[in-house]
Amino acid sequence: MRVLKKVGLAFLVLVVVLTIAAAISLWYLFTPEKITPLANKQAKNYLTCTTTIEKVEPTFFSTYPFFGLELTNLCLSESPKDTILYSGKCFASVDVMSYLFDDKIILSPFLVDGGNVNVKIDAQGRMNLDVYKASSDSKETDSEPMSLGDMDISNVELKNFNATFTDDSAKRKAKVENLNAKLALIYTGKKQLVDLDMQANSLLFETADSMALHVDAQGCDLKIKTNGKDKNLYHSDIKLACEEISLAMAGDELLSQMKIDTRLPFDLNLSKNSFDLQKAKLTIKDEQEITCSGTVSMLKDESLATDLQYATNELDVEKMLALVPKAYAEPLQDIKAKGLAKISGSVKGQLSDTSMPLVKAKIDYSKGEVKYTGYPRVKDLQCSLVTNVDLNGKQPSDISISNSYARIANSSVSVKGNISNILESPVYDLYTKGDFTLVDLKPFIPKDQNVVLKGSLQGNAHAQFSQDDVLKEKYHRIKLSGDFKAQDFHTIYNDSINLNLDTANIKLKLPGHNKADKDLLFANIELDAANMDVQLSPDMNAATENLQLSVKVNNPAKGLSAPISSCAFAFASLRAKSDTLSVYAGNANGELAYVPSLKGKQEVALINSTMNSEKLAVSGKDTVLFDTQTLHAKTNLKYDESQENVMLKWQPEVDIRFSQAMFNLNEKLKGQIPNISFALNRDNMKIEKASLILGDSDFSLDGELTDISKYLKKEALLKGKFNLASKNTDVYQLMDIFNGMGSEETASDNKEAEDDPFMVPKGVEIQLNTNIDKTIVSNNVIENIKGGLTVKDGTLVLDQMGFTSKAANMQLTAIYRSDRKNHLFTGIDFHLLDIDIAELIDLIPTVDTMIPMLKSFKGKGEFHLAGETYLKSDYSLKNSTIRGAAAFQGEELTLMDSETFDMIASKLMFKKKTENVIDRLSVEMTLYKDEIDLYPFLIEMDNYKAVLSGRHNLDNHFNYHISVTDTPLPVRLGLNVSGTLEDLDYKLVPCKYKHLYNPEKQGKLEQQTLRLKNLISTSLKENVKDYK
Amino acid sequence: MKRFALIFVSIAATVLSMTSCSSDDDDVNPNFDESLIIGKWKSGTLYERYDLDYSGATWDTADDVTEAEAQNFTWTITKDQLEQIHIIENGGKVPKVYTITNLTATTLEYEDAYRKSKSFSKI
Repeated sequence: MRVLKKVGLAFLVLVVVLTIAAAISLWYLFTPEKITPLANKQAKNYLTCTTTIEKVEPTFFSTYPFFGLELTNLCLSESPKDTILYSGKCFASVDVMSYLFDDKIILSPFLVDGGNVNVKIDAQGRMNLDVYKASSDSKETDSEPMSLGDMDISNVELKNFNATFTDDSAKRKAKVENLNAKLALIYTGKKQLVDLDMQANSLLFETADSMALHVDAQGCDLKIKTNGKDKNLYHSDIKLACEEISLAMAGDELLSQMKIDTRLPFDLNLSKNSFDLQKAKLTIKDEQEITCSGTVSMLKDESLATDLQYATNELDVEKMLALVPKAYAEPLQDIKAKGLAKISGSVKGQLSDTSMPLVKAKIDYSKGEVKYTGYPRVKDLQCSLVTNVDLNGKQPSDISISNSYARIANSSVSVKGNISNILESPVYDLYTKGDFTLVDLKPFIPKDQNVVLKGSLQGNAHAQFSQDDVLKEKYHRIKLSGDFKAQDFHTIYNDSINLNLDTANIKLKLPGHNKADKDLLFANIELDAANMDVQLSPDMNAATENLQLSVKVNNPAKGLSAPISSCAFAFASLRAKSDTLSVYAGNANGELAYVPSLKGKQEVALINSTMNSEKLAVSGKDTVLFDTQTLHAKTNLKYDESQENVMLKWQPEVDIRFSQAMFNLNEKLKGQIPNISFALNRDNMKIEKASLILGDSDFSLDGELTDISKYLKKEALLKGKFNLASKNTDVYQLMDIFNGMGSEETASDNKEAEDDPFMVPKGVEIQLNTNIDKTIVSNNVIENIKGGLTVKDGTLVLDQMGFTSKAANMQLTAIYRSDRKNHLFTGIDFHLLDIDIAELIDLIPTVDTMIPMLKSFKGKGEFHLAGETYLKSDYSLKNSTIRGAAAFQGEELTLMDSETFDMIASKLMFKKKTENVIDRLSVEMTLYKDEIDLYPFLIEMDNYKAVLSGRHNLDNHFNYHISVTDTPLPVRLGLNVSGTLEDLDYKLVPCKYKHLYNPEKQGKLEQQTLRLKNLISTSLKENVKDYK
Repeated sequence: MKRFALIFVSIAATVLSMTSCSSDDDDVNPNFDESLIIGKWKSGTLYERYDLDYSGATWDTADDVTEAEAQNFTWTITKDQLEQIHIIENGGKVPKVYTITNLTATTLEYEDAYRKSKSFSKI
């Protein structure tokens, strides 16, 4: 404004000078010779700068009623080299009469031809154009408001005019070259008109401040036409066209040689302070058009009321992008876009410091095409959206997408919906529909991911979420539902993992919740695949038929590593293969659940699973290893990382049932499992029933294992009670089946195996009550086996196992205790009741070693044996620890004919019969280290009585004595038999036990012998159950 | 017949020339002070321990057995007869009878009926 004021002041000075010149000319007969010096002189009085006028020529009559002056070579300068104003020819005429009598300014014409103006403001703010000398009158004039009457400046013309403006204080510079302008200005009570027609070859404006604005326009054409209907209502039409306009700011080029054409028609209502735009138009490069119409009015509070509509023609996106300034074009370097965009909308509302109008825009983008370097071309882009923006926040600001579509190769996607609250946190409510040929997505997969995708995927999705939800990772707020269908889906990952789906329906649902409650569902993914084939490696693959998966993911909880999730599955068949092992499951369903929780700051995970299958088979290379018809398996694992013990760490709860199963693990280990049912939890394991048929043997087991947790915490023994029942058990077949099992791989480490003996678990107390109807041991049938097998704190006890066989009723108690690896205890308490001697020896061949003479007898009796020894780690005996006692009692036994008996009979002159029957036999013997002592026992046969005793060592050296105590012969002979069975030495000796069985003649030695015999026999029989 | 008669005469003569079936020797057996046996005895790697309560234990370190792992027995001494009743853990008892031939504060010697003897020294 200050510059305009100065320019106006200069213009006024010029008028004053002309007026003075005209007045003087009137006084001095209007001759140039007289007027020119006078004008120069008077100029010095009024102007501070050097003023020269070559010629002043007044006109009056030729321009009547106007008085005119023509100045030639007018020059105002501060110095010879610093011209302020120069005009080669300047002509002005004024209607003097109207000015003097009607207070009107009628100036016509006013012509400046070939002028230059150089306006400067120095660093101190002084303008060189400020050349009018100040006076007291002028001050008074300045202080009074300027009042002009009617004005008619209808013929003002500038030709070839140049102007420069330099402001050192504000660091601004402007320049106009070759300005030609015609101005008509009429302001009267009846007519108001402004008609400006201006052309300039060049316009330049620059600032040297931080903004560094640079505007350069070439070939500018400005036309302004304003007609006033009255002094209140004006119609204006402004046209501005530039052949080239360039704009730079802060060194960045914003516009470069752009051709613009602007037309601004409007009605101005001064009383209402309103502008009524009538299709204002901006045309860029003769192609891109922006039109605007509507009303802008200034209100009393100096705010603006707007009601504008705007629209563009179909903008060529490619050309629009080319208009993007280089400074901002770098992100677009790799993008090439085409298409037509049409934008229309409105701006309505109050514009002030506190209020912004409502802006609406409708954008239609069609025939679009986008190519981003490295990615496939996006074609057929279409988008139609409407946006409402209310910066005041009184109305919702949103974007409504009515339709959008894009195609990439053979894939397409469309989106519609609404984005609301776009000024704060945009809320998306979008519907998408896609039809993807997956191979088209390959370019979008990172190159370091070796993934091959084939097939197609169609689907649609509906998503509702806010941008805040995503940025603040409040994913639980996202609401989404999608329905997809995959066709001929095939993917290969890392050249090894293959996944094939012929058809699959996939449903994805995120219900959305306000709170991230770990008990609320976060997402549900459902997969329904007719045929799925997965290959993890050449030797590992799986295939399913009619697979149905439903995966539920709950909201992640703070401090937990994984979200709560579950997976329900069902399939008609599953075939999985790993190397030579394959699994088949038919008509199965189940569920897997992962439920973590926090125990303090420690994460505790709960993994629950159930599975039901009508058929499950596990096969090896050529055979079916395991096959069951029905299977139910329920497993709950509670993972507590704070625990060290694996059972406490996982705290399993297992419930497994299956039936009609068969197994075939090798040629021997094959059989059937009719049914099995057991449950395991952290405190106990309960076997409801477990049936097994193995070879010719069958087993049925039930029972319970308790105190598991206490045992693991070392607070109590692990206790268990089980019942084992069997109709038939073939022991030797079982031994044959299990012999060497698992030792093949360690065959070369036999020594290590020997040094790693079986150590009975400590801290456990397991009782196994057996009830076996029949068992076969080396062709001997043993029946009614009843008794207990107990493992208690490092000791294995076969407790009072009773059974019957063809040979005898039997009872066995056996102990195995592993105190330490090189000190293993084993002991037995064995009773054979109603024994058949021959079958006993057949059943227990060791008996023949212990009592070699037993095989010389035939018949039944009872046999009792107790013994113990410690073993080394390789199970060899520690001879120094061997203890044993045995007793045999029989009646009516037949002494078998043998070479040894023949020899004894001949030595002792027994009468040999065809059948020598012994009425009663009672034998006691002990085993101590390597010494087997046979206590004296009586043999009665016919009229003979003999007492037999002796010792033999484990190396089979004998030292026996036979005393004949009753014989028809007059002598009582004794016979020592010593040596080995292969080399016996017979020696007649005195009778040693003449009175042993004669109470009347027994001495202390005989009494001691009988007492010890009784001690042995009694102590052995104490453990016989139901012994009569 | 002549041969049978010869054998009979020979046997009869043998029997007659010997004592008949063994008789008691109670009167000639010496008495030993059983208090002397209390304690721990060693014979090579073999150890025996006799306690006041007539219990005892035996172990052989050659078989990697320690005293704590020793096997138990009860014992009595009658004149020169040392009777050990070895106890089998799960039933049954094994008597062993020895004749003490020497028992002092430092030496224990005994033998069984088959003339198998052992000599211990007190530790």
